[in-house]
Amino acid sequence: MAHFVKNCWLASTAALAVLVISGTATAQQQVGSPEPTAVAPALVSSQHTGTINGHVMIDSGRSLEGVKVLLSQAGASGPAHQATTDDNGEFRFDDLHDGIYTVVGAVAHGYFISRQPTNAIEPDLHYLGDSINIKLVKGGVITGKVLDARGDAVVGVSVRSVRTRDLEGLPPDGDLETAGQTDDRGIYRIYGLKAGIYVVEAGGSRRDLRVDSYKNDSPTYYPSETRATAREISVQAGGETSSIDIRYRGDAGHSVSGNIIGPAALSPALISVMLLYSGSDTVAAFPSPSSNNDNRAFSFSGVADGEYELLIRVNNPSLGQGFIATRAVTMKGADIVGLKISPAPLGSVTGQIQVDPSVTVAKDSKCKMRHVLTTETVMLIARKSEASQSKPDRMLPNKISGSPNEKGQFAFHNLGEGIYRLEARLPNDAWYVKSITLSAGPSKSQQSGSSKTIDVARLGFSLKPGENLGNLFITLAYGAAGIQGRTAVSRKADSPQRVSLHLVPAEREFEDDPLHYAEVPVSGDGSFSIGNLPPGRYWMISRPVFDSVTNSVIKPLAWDPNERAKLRDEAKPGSPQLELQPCQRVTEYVLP
Amino acid sequence: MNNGRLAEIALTIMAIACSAFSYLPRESKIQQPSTGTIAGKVTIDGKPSAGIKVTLSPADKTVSPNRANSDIQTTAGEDGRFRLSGVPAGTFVLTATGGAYVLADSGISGPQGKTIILHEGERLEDIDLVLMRGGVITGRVTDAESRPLIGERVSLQLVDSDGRSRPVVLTNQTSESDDRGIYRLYGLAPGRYRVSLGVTLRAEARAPDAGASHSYYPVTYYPSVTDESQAKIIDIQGSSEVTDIDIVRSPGVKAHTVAGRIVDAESGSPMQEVEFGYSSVTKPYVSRVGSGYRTNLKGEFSVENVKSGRYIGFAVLDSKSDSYSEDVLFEITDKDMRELQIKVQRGSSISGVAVVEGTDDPSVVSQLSNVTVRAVPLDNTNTSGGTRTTIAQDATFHLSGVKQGKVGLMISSPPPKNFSLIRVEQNGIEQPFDILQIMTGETTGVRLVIAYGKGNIRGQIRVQGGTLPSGTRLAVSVVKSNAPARSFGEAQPDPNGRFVITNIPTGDYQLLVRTVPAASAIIRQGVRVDSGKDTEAVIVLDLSK
Repeated sequence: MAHFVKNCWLASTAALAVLVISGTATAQQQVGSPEPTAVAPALVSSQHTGTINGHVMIDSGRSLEGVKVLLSQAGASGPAHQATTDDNGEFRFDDLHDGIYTVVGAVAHGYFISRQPTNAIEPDLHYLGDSINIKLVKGGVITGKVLDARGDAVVGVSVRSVRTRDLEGLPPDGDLETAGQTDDRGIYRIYGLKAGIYVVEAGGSRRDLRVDSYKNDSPTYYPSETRATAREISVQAGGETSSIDIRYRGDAGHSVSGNIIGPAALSPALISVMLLYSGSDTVAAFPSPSSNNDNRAFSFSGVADGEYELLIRVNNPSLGQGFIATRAVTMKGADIVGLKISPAPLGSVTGQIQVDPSVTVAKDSKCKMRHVLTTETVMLIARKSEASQSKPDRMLPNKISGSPNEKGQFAFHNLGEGIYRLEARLPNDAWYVKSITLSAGPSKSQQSGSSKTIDVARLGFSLKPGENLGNLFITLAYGAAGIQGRTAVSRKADSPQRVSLHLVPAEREFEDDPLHYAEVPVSGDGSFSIGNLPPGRYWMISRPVFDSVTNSVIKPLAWDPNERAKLRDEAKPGSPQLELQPCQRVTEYVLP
Repeated sequence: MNNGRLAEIALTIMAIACSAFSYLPRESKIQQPSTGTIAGKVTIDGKPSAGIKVTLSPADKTVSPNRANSDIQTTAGEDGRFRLSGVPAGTFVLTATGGAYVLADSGISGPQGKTIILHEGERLEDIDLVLMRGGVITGRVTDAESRPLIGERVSLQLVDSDGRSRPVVLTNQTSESDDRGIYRLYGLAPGRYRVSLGVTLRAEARAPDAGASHSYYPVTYYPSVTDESQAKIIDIQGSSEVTDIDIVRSPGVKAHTVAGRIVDAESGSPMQEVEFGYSSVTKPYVSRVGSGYRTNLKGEFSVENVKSGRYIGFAVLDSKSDSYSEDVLFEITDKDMRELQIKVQRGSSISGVAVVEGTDDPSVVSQLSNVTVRAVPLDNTNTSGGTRTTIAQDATFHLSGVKQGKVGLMISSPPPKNFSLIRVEQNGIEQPFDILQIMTGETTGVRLVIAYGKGNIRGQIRVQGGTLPSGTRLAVSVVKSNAPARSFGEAQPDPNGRFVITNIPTGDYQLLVRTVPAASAIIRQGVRVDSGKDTEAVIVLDLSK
């Protein structure tokens, strides 16, 4: 143990020494007269096309052929690109435009994509030239019989498994519902399921709107219940949960119907209407097809007594705006007719990314890396910094991402009211985000006549219902620094499972600028890597993470001024301080 | 006088009466059409069955799925009786749900539902549905290495006594294998079946993932053969469950490259920027597609990822071109095809005029400019010497790039498809079967005589002197006396012997009534169809003869 510590100290001293030397060398160079030829880093639109390829295998290590891989450009609309794995399990996408891509699906009957726990929240981002390895896990199975009150088999009824949470008790991410159908013996078998806790339902309206004899019934939940008293079952990946037999009730339930009114109802519009179980994201009923093709009228049949939430989403291209409405509905033994719902408009924000012109780079400086940033490979994420209390916004995603177009302009549509933060994911580590500002118009502001500039990086931007905000500027600068290294891994039994590393700015002028804070998780082996850092002086502190990662809004601590103050207090006495120069790369840094 | 003679006289009288009898078009009434009822009983294996859902759906399947609410449903009561009310006039299919059951009696209907024609306000009683539990075929599908195939589609074909097969569509069940590779097909009517795995191979228009090594799997029939004629037939009788129908997928075949040149037949010089097309000859009539690959400056083309099989290759030429392409037969086995040469020949032309028989109405004649004329060479079955053109404003037409030899002429018009070809004349002489003999150069003086308008036949078949043997039903078709093989419409009469055939081009025809499967009784009866009108016909089938 002592041996290890001694080596550790030697190494870190040596590292520090190297840093100091290289730092002063750069400083001397910069103090001298500027080189006559300076390079201006630039933001351009890419004309490149390229390839992304990869490989799919299942957990036994076998390559799987015939898998449909779906790749989508972040923030782009339209269908995903599709490729099928060949006999060696390899796939390939050619002629892709420059941009950021994510794998949105790998379809092989009976399997689902296995995700590493740390990447459970955000999908991996890929750029042209990347090679992606996808691992599939064999799904679990639920099987059983559906019988009616007389004990006869119920034939051809749709049976659906709905995942309520995963095995660790967390709310599930995606892929909530999988369906099967009973055969002539009343037996059903649903396969390819992710591990988790499920309820099983039979009958009722179907997502695929296919007509069968049971579509107007109220669904029966295993073993013979309504949703409120449904019994939960657990499913393991690759396992089989059998004898989940349902005694079908075939209750008629009642109907809920109404109309959508107001500006949202101006045709043409894309309207989606669903009835959800109150307080959950699971669907209780899909609307019956309307008989006169008027999509502003809706009706549900087979609704059992209970509490529901009607969710209506409208996308109206002629108005260029989206709308949303929710309405609590209580069903108590009678049809509900004549509902009139007027969805409220959703807001949007538009802006521009630009390059800070004042940051130029001496031609023979350390900054040899890519001077040019393509707009399409910048990924911007708008995230709600506080979960809104109001009901409709609970249905909206907390996070929207997109890429700027070839002119560097970007837009986020269909945003609910709230306060948002913007983040950028940059494709190469030579750049960092210098500032995010909103220039408000001169009208209706306190300082009449002058335009206010809001520091969005510090405060976020606030959106009222239906507000369309413009003039958001994200300024990027060239010359980012990066640190790679490891922390000492403690072997004590009570040490936290996960540790996060925080960078806190040591310079006063940046102490309230979240862009100068960084937070990164430390891997199981103690290694970490932080990039896209603005040059400056930083303290480095490590903080244990005791709570498990949830799917709720992930907030970097630095967004909250109180947390920033706490971090600074923790950092000040005697923490290691690091000075990072433009384009500097620190490797093998060891944090005690 | 014996019964036979009496029947003959009766038939003759009927025939004369019917061909002279035409229904006048109905006056439009501005009032709510009255609705009728259909009632009967559902029995399963002879016992009345309660709780079965009976559904009446419109027979017209072109109605959009959103209109599923035009189905009328009711549930059979304790005694198996049902009554459907509020039924508008029309043609329907009556089914009983419980997908595990099939109609046991075949009478004058098909196996999956009873066709019912309801007139306005009519009340039909005693429409009985006799159900029996359908047969089941189940088994496991695996690949060549005995691994289960998951989510694989299993298809069924029904094979009739003549060996002809047609695909069977199963409703409301998944025909796919589960995670163990097990499939189960239920609710099958008695009959002889072939079970197969995999979708039909099609020559792909464009290589999907260039350079990748993809295997393609041909359709595999139970137990494990790719040749349909060698497939084992499964016989379903009554409600049998046939198990262990396991299918092992045939090994995949690799795909190869097809490369060659397209040249001018006379000069031998290469043709640039011409698209190469190919289509499979192993499957009956697959539509010709271009490969998406065009020849370069040297007239060369190259297509990747073509599956093993026999094909014809050709140059894709515009229909206005003066030339036509030769068809070259080639086969891909286990290696690339590199030296394919396609010759493009100078073709002949056909020109003439189109007239509408029986009318000079300019509004009708002007619609001729929507009609397409096609010339199809008949000397070889698959050839790209076919070409088409549209009739010009002045009712003339000109086809170019036609292959010499026997050529058949056809016309087609966009919906509502009011035009049909009655005959083709050349220099005043009628050409039998609409076929011209084309030499090199120009063929002129062709006259297309076209009929305008369509009408309907509403008919009734009365069966007397006995009942049809069980398992037989009747079928009616509309044919021309000089071309009995060409059908202008078909129908199956409902339980009361009524049928409706719509959209028949104006003209003189014969109604052909036959029994199915064994065509033991045949009746021909003349009928005239007039544009926009309903013609009534009554046919008497006397079984005592």
